[in-house]
Amino acid sequence: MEKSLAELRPGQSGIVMGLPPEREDWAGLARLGLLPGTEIRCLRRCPLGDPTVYRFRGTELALRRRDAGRILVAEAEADSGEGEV
Amino acid sequence: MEHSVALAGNPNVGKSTLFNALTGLRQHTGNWTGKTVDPARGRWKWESDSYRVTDLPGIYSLEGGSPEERVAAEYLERTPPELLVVILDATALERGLALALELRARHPRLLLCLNLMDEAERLGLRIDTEALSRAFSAPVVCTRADRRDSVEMLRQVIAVSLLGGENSRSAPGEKQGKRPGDPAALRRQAAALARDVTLTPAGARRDWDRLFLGKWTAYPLVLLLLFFLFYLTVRGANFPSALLERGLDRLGEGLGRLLSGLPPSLRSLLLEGVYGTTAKVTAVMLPPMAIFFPLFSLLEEIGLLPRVAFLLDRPFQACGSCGRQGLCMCMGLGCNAVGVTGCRIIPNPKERLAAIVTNALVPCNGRFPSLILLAGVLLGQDGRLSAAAAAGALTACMLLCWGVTLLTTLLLRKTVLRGREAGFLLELPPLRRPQVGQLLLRSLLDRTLRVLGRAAAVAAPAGALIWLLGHVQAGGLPLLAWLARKLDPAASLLGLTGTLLLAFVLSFPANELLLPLAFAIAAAAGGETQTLPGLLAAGGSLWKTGLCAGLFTLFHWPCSTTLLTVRHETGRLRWTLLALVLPSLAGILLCAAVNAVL
Repeated sequence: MEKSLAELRPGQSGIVMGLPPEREDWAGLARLGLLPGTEIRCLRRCPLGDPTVYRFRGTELALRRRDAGRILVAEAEADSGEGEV
Repeated sequence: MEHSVALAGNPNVGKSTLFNALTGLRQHTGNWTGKTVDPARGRWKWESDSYRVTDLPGIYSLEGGSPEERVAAEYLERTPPELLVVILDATALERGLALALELRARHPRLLLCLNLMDEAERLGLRIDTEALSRAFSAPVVCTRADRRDSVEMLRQVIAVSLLGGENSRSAPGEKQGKRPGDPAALRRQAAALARDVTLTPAGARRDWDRLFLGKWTAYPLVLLLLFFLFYLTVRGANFPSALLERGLDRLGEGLGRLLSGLPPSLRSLLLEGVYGTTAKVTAVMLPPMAIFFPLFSLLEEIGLLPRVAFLLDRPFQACGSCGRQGLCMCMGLGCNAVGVTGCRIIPNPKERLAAIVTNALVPCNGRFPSLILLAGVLLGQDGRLSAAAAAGALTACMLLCWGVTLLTTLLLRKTVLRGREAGFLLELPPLRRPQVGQLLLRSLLDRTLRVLGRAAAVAAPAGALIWLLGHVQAGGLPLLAWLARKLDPAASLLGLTGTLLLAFVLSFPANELLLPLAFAIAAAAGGETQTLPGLLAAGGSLWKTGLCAGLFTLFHWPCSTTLLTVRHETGRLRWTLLALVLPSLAGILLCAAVNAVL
């Protein structure tokens, strides 16, 4: 099932399906290795609700809800072993 | 013979630390992305050869188009080094390999350096270095952050690799010189290679972020850290400060005897003006800096600063900015000029401008000693309790500065710097165990002494100038006293005295001069106000004047160095003026308000 990255909850993982067109002031997600097919895991939200930390390919990256909402993921297996809700 | 070597690697792989160890230089390091923008240069000798080394900025790829990547790509294009050392974080191999593969296609002679092997061992990670070496047909060397002989070994391997010929440029079946165009293919290749050479995968790190970024613990911890940073600084600085002052006084007496042959006025200029001011600045500044800077470096090395930026992003977002501005504010705590330059890490031009012109709203270390002394006078000087009260007051100051910064940023983003919200990406590097001993020493030698040297270099000529102003007569008074009297009416509107306001004006070259200047002005006026409580009491009420002096120390015009840096970074007089006006206006409004209420 496809959804946006922002909809993943802490502990859930997904496979990246689609990326937003690169924006100049966005230092390049692809450069960090966030490409279609990459597995990405939602780790934890900031106590204030935004931004959220994601992990992919050994990198931990914070994204705002707005930006994460532009990234499409296919939900991988549901687990809640890591991260907090 | 001289060889040229360059170091390349992802951000946060310990590249700058290795560079420092190789060359004995003390380039500043920190555990966050974007620390090194310009390539740094150094050299070392090994047996009879000498090695010139360039430390390229941390990059993920050569073609991403960020400033760091352009700098690195251009350097490799124009002045290809004989040997390119690619430094990889052993605990994040895949990411490093993607860059290494890209570099291999462009550069004939590589050396792979697997750094942070000590951390990898702690995590139980094992890597087949021979397989890695075969895959790249390049030598592989392992280094550790916690052992000095690593560096000696690296030097040796570099020397040996330079003796041999070029390593075969590419694995069989690959075309030489062809740039790998598809980043996705490169990533897949890197992922496969990382899987192949990993013998035992890393176990889970201990999840400290549960604590540092946790729902209930994150913000109290940040406040507590800030509080203890100030507490240790305040408590630790009192005693050595007094000791230093006594020592420097004695040195002054000796110097006086040495200069006894000179004409009295010249002797007084040198002794009371130049030496006296420099000694005072040193005695006031050195102890708090020698405590604050190493502690701050420690937080930086562990990797806590990006986490603070993460925690602060939401409020900044609400004001049209981003958490990276919080990082620039932290840098401003050291020196506002550094904070202004640090704003380069904010990619959006309008957000960057807003962060630049508001940076001086955070007190730099030149203002800290004044704040600490003021807090001491108002809240008591000795004992654990008053130190805690002073530290609490300083923490409150930081919260106030942060609030004013947010408000000013919001105002700017709604008016002159209107624009859409930019995207926000922030990498959180793994938390690292710091090399405490090495770090403290480096921070002490490097940051503390450099800032102190700068302050002394300004203090000496300023001391001479102050002495002259104190001895030139105007209207039957020394010029300083006359000027202070002229400023009295304006100062009283702000809850200050003419003496203090003049000291603020004259400390424009360096904030460190504020209190020495105030004392010199008071002395020129011939008053009995040679102590700080005396200076404040001259305003009528110790508390009101003290509070206003504190507020005005937090918010007034930035020093000349900071303004020149703003001019340099923005290229416009307009933004420089705004950087001057904004904090001044904040200070004037706050002081006038306090003066009206109290």
